[in-house]
Amino acid sequence: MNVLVDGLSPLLDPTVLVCLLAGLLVGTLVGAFPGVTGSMAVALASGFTLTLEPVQGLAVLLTIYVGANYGDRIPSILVNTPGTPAAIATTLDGYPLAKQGKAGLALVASSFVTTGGILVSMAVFLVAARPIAQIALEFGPAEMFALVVFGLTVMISISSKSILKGVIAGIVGLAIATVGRDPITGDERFVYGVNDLNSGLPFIAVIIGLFGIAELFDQLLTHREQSVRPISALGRWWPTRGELKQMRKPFALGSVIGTVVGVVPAAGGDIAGLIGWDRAKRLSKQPEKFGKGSLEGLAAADTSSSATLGGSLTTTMALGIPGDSVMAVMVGSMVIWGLQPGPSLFTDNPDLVVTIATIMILATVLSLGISLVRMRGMVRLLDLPRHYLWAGILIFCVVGTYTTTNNMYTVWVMLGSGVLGVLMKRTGFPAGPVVLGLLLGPLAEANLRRALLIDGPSSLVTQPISAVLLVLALIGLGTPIIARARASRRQGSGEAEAREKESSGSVR
Amino acid sequence: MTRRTTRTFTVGAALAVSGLALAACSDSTGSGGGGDSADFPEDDVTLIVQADAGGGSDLTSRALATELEPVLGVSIVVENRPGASGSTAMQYVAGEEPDGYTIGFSPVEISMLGHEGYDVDPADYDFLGQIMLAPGVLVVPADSPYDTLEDFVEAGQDQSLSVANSGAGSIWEIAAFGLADATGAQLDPVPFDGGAPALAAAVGGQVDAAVAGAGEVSAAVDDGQVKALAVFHDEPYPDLPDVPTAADAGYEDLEFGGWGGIYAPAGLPDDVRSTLESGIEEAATSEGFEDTVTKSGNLVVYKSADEFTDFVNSEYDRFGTLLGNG
Amino acid sequence: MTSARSAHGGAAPSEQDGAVPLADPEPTAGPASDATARPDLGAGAPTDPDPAPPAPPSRRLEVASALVSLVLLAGLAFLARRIELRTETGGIDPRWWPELLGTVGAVLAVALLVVALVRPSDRGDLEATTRTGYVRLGASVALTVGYLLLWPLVGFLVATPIYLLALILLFGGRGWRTLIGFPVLTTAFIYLLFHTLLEVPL
Repeated sequence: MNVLVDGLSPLLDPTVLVCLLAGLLVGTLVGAFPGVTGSMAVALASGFTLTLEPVQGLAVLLTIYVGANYGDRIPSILVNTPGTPAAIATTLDGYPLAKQGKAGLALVASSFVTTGGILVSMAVFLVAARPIAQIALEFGPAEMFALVVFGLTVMISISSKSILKGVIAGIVGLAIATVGRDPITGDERFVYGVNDLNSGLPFIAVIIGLFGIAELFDQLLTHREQSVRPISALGRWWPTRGELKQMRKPFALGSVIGTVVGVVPAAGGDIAGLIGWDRAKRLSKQPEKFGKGSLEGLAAADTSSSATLGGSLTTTMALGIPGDSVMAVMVGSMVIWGLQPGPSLFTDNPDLVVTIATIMILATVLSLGISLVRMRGMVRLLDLPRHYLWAGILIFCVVGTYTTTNNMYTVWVMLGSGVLGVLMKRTGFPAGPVVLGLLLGPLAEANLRRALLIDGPSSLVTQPISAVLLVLALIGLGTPIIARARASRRQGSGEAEAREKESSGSVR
Repeated sequence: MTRRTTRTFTVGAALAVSGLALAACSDSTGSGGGGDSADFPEDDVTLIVQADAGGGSDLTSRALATELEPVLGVSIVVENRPGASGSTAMQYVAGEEPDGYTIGFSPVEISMLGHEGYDVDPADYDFLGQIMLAPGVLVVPADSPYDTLEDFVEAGQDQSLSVANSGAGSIWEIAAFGLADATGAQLDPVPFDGGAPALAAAVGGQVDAAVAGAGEVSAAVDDGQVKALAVFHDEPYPDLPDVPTAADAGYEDLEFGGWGGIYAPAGLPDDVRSTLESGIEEAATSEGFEDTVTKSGNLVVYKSADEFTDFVNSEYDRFGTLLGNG
Repeated sequence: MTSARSAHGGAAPSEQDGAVPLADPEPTAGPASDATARPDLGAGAPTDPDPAPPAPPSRRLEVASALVSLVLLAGLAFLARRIELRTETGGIDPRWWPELLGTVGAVLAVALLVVALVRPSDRGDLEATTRTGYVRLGASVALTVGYLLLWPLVGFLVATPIYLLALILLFGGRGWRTLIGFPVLTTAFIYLLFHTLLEVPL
């Protein structure tokens, strides 16, 4: 009881409220700006917050962390550009929903499941931080490798039409990820004397190019003046009871996946969102709708990517090992304030743990409120005349990408990825698997080779977690291929029926 | 179109115009600053950091900038140019005018990258003083059978031991090479993607040991998550007073640290160089700087420009030998 | 900052479309209804009141893309074998992973080539391109390349308004508010957000 009072009382200070609001404003703004991630904003803000009291400073930094997690969904849904990597999976169903004129519904649903995801993971943090954090310690290189292989099977489900094209796209992504220095020996690979290539192709630039810029380029190619794009239609705002019920299962699934993936260091919202989306698709009664504007898909993606917040907070505070890049910056700041995250934090400063959790929960609730209030304004952006919208997307993507490194090279990579992306789109190669490959490739190779360095090949199959994940990955690889083969055998009438259902469903 | 629109427009335009004017001012003085070096500095100085905002290098640089501003009487603009192990920033600095208006934070990598295939050579820079040091520490899992450096080295004579570090080509990987070289133990450095995952591997018991910065490991040592066997520095680390130095354990000169200093493109005018050097000395020995640096787990170790230049060159030679490019 | 006027602009397409320089060769008929939700484009439902024409099937494109994949991935496998190592260790070395990717990818690309030759092409999920579209895309890329080259030379505050002005002209915006106001305000907003508020140099 005392702990609760001690933890909550510093929050009564009105300056803390000001800090919360400032953090929210910055967080949602930078989250919505493609390229500018939460970790960049937190890092820049930490320069100012070091002079504040710890509680005030934490209020600013944690609310930026939370706010960015709401802001980044907006461009994902509206213009197919993930605001931060954590919102990659949001584009899979969010943007198709917007194209069907359901931008409002998608934004509202996304805000609610995001809120739910964070709150569930925070509940886990409050109740069981220390035991849960032990999961993180179980994840050595062998287990990470198995998790990543499991993640790579997602490639099959995000290959929309042709599995073959999807897997080839995935291999291209994995191949792009090998550019740079070898993760184990440090040898140059495909660098050819270009110094910037030593650190590989910048991930954020590639995703902005492949998703946002490629979509924009495709619009430039196909736009017809007379056809009014339905995207400007807001449609309904609130989900129906049936839709809410539909979202229940993916929400539950996403919360669990997100929290666990969040706990594992080096795996964050981007990976969690994709895995959550994939799992929900496999368990869904309507998997064929995924990727074409499924609320279930959107719910799964957003719940799991936002539930990583509580998960990585758990690892950070209970072990002192940063759960993601934002938390790495946070640990730096906390140490300077004289607060050392780690097991002793829970025994020596339990009130601080309460304070942190309360800030996170307050920030989440406030973010939900703010995002619901200004949602109409956000969707209105789509009503802008084409020339403003197109020019705006281009300049925001260019500047956002530039500020990640202050290096024009990054912007060139983004532009090149945009051109590659539109070529792929016109030839039916999906962009999702490329990004998945880019994200998981370095983890797969480096962790495999680390595991081999440490224990030799046996560790991959003798460690229980790694063995189970590898078996799951095999099953995950096999089933959709078999299912597809079956489906294509009885194509014809079956597929037409599915389309019928779908179109009637979306008009309703 | 309403009055409101017009007003928004006017305010916006005014802001834009003032922004343009501001930028024009800073641009015109920025490029002409090197004209008369006797009055240095007349304009903002840019401090290039080779890492992302929020990391140790960035924090140290910003803390120094805060103290250096009143000494020099101008603003210090910290600019992050991350990428390619820091060589992006180093090559950028090497290509700037040596007029004192562009300086940078030089991490230990400046003595290493040249041996790893990057186009980075300490001879291209003027070094202005060392400001910090993160001594290396060897840690083992809490349930490890080894309690001292001697135990560990002895065990390494008959079997190979895995030693986690923060990345291929990092100073902590070189430290593992150096330890193996000096003791004859068979050590397999295992590079991770950063210091935190390397430490996590030691806490989780996936590796036999890890080498990391003292600041990174001290909390985990205090909490009993890992045991620290040795500090690779000439004196014990203040937060880990009971951990012996490698020299105490019988290995003289086994010192590895992530040091950092300030550098500039080679060829600074003498008076600019001395202004910067004395300014940096004053800032680096100030209380505010020491406070920030020690709280973030590093040590303030000041070396003058000449000492630092010699040190960088000797480290360059030493790393060359360890990396087989002697 | 432009949202106040935009609410009107969207509802009255004639305002910005009247002056479009790149006339569209394939006008689509039918009243546009933005109130009804549009069925999924991929389904190409015939009930759509205002259907964008789907891209025509093209075997040539399918074959060409399979060939390009094959060349790229086989090239990867070839180049991977030529990665220079400082110490040869054999086994699972830096060459191993890219070589594996290239080999597996090349095999799959051959399979894709076979599929492209045997099965009919279906590009029904894509909208057809327009001739003006190619001009618009080409010009946008060219302008962006120009902007990226100009920015380091003349600075952000000069290059950006010029770039935005050119883009707006290309995309068919007219009127001094549009042509001057938007570029200046957007540049100012970005400059204030990054340079002033976040202290990121532009």
